[in-house]
Amino acid sequence: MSAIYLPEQPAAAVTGSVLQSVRAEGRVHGLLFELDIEQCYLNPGDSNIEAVYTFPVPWNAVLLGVEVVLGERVLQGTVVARADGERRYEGALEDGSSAVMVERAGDGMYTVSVGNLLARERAVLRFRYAQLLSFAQGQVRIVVPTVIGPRYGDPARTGMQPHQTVTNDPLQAYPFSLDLVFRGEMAGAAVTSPSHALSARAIDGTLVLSLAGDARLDRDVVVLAEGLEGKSLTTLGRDGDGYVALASFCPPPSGQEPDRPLNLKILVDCSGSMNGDRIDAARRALHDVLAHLEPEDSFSFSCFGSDVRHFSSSLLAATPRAVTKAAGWIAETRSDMGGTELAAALASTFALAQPFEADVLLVTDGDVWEAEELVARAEQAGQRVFAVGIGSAPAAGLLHVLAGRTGGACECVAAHAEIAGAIMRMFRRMRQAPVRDVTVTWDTGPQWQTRAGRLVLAGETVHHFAGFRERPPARATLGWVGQPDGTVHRTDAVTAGVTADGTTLARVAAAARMAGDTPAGRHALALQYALVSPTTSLVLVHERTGAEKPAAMPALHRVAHALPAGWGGAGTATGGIFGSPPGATLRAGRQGPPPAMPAVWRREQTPGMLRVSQNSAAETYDIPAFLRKQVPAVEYAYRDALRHLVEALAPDNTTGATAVPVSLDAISAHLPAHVALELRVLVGEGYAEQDVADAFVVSLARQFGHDSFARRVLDAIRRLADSLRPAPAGLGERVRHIVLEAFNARTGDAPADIPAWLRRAAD
Amino acid sequence: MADAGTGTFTLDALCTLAGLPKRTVRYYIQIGLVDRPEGETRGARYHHRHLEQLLAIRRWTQAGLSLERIRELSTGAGEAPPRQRDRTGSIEIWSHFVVADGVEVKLNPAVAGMSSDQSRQFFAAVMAAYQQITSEDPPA
Repeated sequence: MSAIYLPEQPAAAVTGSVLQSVRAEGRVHGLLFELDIEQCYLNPGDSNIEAVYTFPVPWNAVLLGVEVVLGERVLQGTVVARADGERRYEGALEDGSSAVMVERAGDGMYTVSVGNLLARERAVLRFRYAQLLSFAQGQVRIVVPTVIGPRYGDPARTGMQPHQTVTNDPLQAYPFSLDLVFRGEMAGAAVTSPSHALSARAIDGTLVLSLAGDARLDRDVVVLAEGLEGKSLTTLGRDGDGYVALASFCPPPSGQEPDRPLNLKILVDCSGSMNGDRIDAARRALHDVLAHLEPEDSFSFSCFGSDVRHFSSSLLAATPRAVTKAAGWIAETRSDMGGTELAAALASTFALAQPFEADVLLVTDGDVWEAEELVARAEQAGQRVFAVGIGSAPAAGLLHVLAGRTGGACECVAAHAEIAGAIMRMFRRMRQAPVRDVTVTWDTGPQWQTRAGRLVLAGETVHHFAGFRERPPARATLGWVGQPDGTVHRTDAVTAGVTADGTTLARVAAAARMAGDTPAGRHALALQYALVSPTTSLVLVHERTGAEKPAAMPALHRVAHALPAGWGGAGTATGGIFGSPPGATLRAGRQGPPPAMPAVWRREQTPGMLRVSQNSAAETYDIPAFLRKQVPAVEYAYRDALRHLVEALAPDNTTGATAVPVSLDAISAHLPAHVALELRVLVGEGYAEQDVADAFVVSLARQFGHDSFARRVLDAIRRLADSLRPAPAGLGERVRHIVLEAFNARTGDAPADIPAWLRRAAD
Repeated sequence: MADAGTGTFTLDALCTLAGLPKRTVRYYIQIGLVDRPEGETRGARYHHRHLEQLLAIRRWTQAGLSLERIRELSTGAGEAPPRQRDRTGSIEIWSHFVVADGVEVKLNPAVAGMSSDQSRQFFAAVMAAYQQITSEDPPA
């Protein structure tokens, strides 16, 4: 069956979308992220229409309210059972009245229908969400998705109704603006964005970030807050006459635990949607994965698209030879395997090399309409899935659910700069010993509490809710038993003694409680706490009177999404075509020492780092547009090193000697580890070491042919290149490819470290 | 459920008989998969023809067909013979117009039915568009 659902009537979708613009405003206080999104609709035509838009929200965000401004009137929605909501909505339309209905369309997606928007009428819809953020090893990642890309498969499999399906239109470009306000301790974080250029202002102890330039609804907005210390804390709120408590545990590192050897099944998405930036990012991520393997580990490598291809029938010990071989497989990875049969590929990978206990590392954009069935089968298989979501707008909902339910973890990478950190964090998680008997106890007996998770990781937040009838608790304790030694661990989260106002905490808690409840219980909670769920929807009706009432059924106007930046190789999201300069670090001042985290996580090496002075609260700082244009987004990672190598290779005019002999060993010392590794792969394939070294020097000399070296160096290096043996058939081209990749690699693309096995071999 | 006198249905009755939600039935009508009713809003009446259309769509969607494919089947568009092309040994003349490094426009004027003057205008417009875009925001 055809994979991707394109617009059913492309011509209708190309021009004049009814969605005019989207504006968002977020507030981050502690680990609570509140987001207001304003969608502006206009009916430009002469007859009544129904606008339908399925839009993304942060994957675990809770929709708290919808307000509609229609002309002079402001209307509030109410949550009712889904069938009831549909009856009211359809009844209103049949009556000639206007109505708005918001339904859940899947994990991280809602559908809004604006029925009977009259000729030239404007409607503004305001959505209010709350999301709990988490520390993940020193950073908090805030994501505001703005676009849903084309996905493989049948959306009906996820329970989507026909009118909720998503269409994409490459010509659409909806304007988008976002302001984020960081309060409290979060205002002191070092903030970066791998996705957008930001401007920052420090106002009264808060940090206010705005998207700089003309942003569009074509990629996730990703903001990283770093340099914060993870804390365990219990937050209290009122829940009717009782209390609700949120315990956010952030277990400290337990110290001297030995790293656990890994059995890792690597599964890579090579479907057509990975074309372009994504497969490039996947290859970089996989090279990083190889670099983190230790000789005690074992691994397998598989690719999937319409079919799955296992490169080995069992797990291979991560010997230098096996890793070298795998580096060759990765280098050959292309997005040429067709569709995205994720369920079949996972099942086949789970079955690989049984009965050994192993984890699956899945690298994908997740662009597939899959749901409960896939996750349930993965859960049954009993193997942890660690997912790396790739791309400017990965389907994070599915990957988070898949990883969460199997006891694994999910990392998304929006840009090459995020890859090294994400893979490192993933390895830390995978190497931590598994835990059992995770429990949360309170000093006061709770009326109810959410189910404790299966995964406890040092430096990562675990949220846990509980309800109390009369007296609020003062302390919560997270306990778990480490394996295999059976050590009992505990960490406490005490309350700050303040009860938060409003019902937000109780409603977010209700959404969390729904996950572990029966279908009837979920429905009751959704109705009690006014939550839009698979069985409830939000509806509001604006009654029209007399001549205002339209006489005919409204014409349908579906809001088609733009294509995500860089999707399927349509342009690149990491270069200049779609990109605005991302990667600048913004900080509203900082008291005390620099963040205690590994250097590779800091963005200090990023050029154009911008700091906002907080010497005076009134002082503000906006990056001027001309400066933003001039600040290079990234710098070349290895070009200096390569220039030094070329200079060292140039024979001295007087003696004719070079500082470095042309041999693979000698030049490897001057090269980034993965470049040297790629050259050694060629030797492993049977090319003579000297030929590979010669071809590298020749190719490098050509690459620097237009560089601004001193004429002496350039002439000398050309003479050297001419004196070397011509490369055997095929080798020259492959080496040129390696040189080009190294020559053009940008800062942040570089693998974090020398591969572990290489270090060991050198030792 | 049909009105005894006219043999017609209300939307509610039609949805019950077809086993589909009202929202979905209205959606099929809006996108033209199902004929519009007689009359509008509350006065709309549906016939057996509408019911048959809905039942057919339900059967086809359950069989895994996309709505676009169902539209082709129901309008007979799917039966059109495919255009014969790419015969082994055939020769096709394509113009490759290089706009810049990595940007190329391929045109077969015979198939596209464009005159040489139109082709020239088209390439000029492409070139101008490329220059305008890249001068505003040069590629990295």
